[in-house]
Amino acid sequence: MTVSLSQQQIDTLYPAHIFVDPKHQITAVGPSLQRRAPWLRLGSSLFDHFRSATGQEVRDLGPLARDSTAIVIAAREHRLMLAGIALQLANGFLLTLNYVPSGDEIDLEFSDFAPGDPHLSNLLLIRVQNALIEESSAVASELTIERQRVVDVIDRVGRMSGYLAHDLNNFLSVISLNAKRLLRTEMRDERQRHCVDVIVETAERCAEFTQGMMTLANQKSDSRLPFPVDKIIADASALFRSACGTRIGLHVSLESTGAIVNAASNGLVNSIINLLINSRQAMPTGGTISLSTQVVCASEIESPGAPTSGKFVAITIDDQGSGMPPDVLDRAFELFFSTKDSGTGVGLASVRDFAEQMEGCVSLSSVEGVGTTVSLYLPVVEQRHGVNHDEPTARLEEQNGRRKVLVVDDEDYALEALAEFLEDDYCVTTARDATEARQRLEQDRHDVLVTDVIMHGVDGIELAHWAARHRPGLHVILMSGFVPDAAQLSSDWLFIRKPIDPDMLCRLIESR
Amino acid sequence: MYGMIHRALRRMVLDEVGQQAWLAIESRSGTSAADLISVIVYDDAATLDLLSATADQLTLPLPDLLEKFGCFWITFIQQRSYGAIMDYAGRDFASFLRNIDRLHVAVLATMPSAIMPSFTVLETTPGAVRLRYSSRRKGLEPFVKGLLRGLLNKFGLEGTVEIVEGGDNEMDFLIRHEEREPAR
Repeated sequence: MTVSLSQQQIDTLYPAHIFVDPKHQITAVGPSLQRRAPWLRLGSSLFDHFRSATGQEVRDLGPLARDSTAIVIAAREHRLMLAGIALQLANGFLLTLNYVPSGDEIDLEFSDFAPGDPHLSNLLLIRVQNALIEESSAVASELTIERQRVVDVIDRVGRMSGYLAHDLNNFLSVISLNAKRLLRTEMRDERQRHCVDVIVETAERCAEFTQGMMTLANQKSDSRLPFPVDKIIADASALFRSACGTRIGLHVSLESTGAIVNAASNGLVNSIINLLINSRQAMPTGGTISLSTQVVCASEIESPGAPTSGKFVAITIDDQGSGMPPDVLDRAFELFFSTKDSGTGVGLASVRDFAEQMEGCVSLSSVEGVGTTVSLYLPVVEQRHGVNHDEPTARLEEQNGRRKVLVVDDEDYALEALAEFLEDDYCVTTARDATEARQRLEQDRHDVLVTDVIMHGVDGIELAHWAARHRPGLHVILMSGFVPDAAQLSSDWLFIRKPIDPDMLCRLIESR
Repeated sequence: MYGMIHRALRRMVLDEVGQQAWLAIESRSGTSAADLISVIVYDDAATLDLLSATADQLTLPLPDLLEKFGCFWITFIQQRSYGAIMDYAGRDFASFLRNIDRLHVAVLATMPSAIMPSFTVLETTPGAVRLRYSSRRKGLEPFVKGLLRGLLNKFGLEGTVEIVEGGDNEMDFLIRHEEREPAR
């Protein structure tokens, strides 16, 4: 079979071809070599420029052409390698060559390769993939920046929400307190009384709205109040039994009677529910969970980082579940760590966070196949003997005393309303800022300081710290629409969230 | 469409009118950062929404925006990771056009779900190229016109691009060009 090719076709099929005469002198080169290897002189010997790259010296193309043996030649003085076969022609040889990529072919382009040369597709694919990797890396970095931008925006919105909620709570406090003042007056007109009821009710609904805003601002809305743990558990026992489910019995044993802790009661209930759910999930075939309380000394607590002094109410949940192996036990408090398919890994971590916020701690012990015991410890702030659970109210009723209370708020209307509410039961003095409050405290002995937190000039927390140093024994109650950072507070201070519920405030004063 | 198109469009808007304009476009088209991932192939509808929102924002008719964007696309990919590949595809205008399909074959090997157009050089004469563009997509001829203008620019040429024959999915472009005069 004879095939005829035009020069243009040869140029296209083999852009890096070389024609040599019978003496191996170069007579023509393909268009690619004309561009890439201008040092190839016509008339010079092929072997002056190239050597065999296969290790076997070649001096005659004749035998190679007859056997159609592949040849691989490398330039003697340049980085260039070509491969192909030699075709015998009437007037010499045609070397149908392709580039052998070596990684240095950065200057090569499509037209340097023969159509269908697999090197071309491979090189192109590698380059496209490299480009995509580079792009992906750029996008990943942009997405990270974008994510941070979104986080910043959410953070700003959250903080803005917090500020708005704080201010709203202040105004709501004024509205609510003054509406309740009106209700205390003798109102003969039913329509007027109804209008005031509507104001109070709407203020309460609005307060729920501000709680939502506080949540958006990552603010805690649960007030820290002194309460007997046993009473909270007794009141919520039906809820706890529901959390255990129908196949599991809950045995409750409350033995911390009279021990008062200063904590967020909702947080405590949530923590107990979290622990009960964990126990329930560890007992798929049923059984009994024990929930108990008792007062213990710090030295009895077996938990890393446990407090070294003081008394604590230990709230213990003991199950007969599958228990945990040591490696799981080690990681049990790790956020997002869970061995359950549907587990979030949040439960135990949130219990520990709650305990730490309340200046307590958590201990955990478990034996595989036997069960798990978790104890939540909250510091006892007061031990009452022979107390009944309604004691604060009872004391209020009994005492009806004239303890001296200093109320500090830079919002005049709120101050006026609060003072009026408290005047029935206490000897009340008022101050419009921290400076005035200090003067009052220096001039006269007081039993309780009730102060707003965020005020112009010196804030309520700083005032409370000053009072703690200069007026030891003075009880402190902070009030704010914004829940302060627990780290700034002393453990024996109380906190009440605005809008103020005057009855709750009276109970707090009585608890001191 | 290929997410890199979205990123290029964003770059063009950021360069020309700034971040506020881009945020307005994102809001109008419901686009977010997640729609700008280069190596993902997005639904064409998302790209068209983005292009329409951009045209509105820049107060340009959509065909004008497409042409402008086509021209920008060449600059965009030349300056980024694809620059070396662009050079690989050809160092002169005509050979580049001849090799676009081969370039697309390599892209398809990496992103098989991408839909790539095809370009065939029908004729080259001194100072002119007749090029056939085929695509399953309709209405993108202004974008192609912009691409060709961008390529003329890339190869130091100036000239005109016109559609000389057109059907629904196939269109012939005539590009007349000459060397750009050096700036004085």
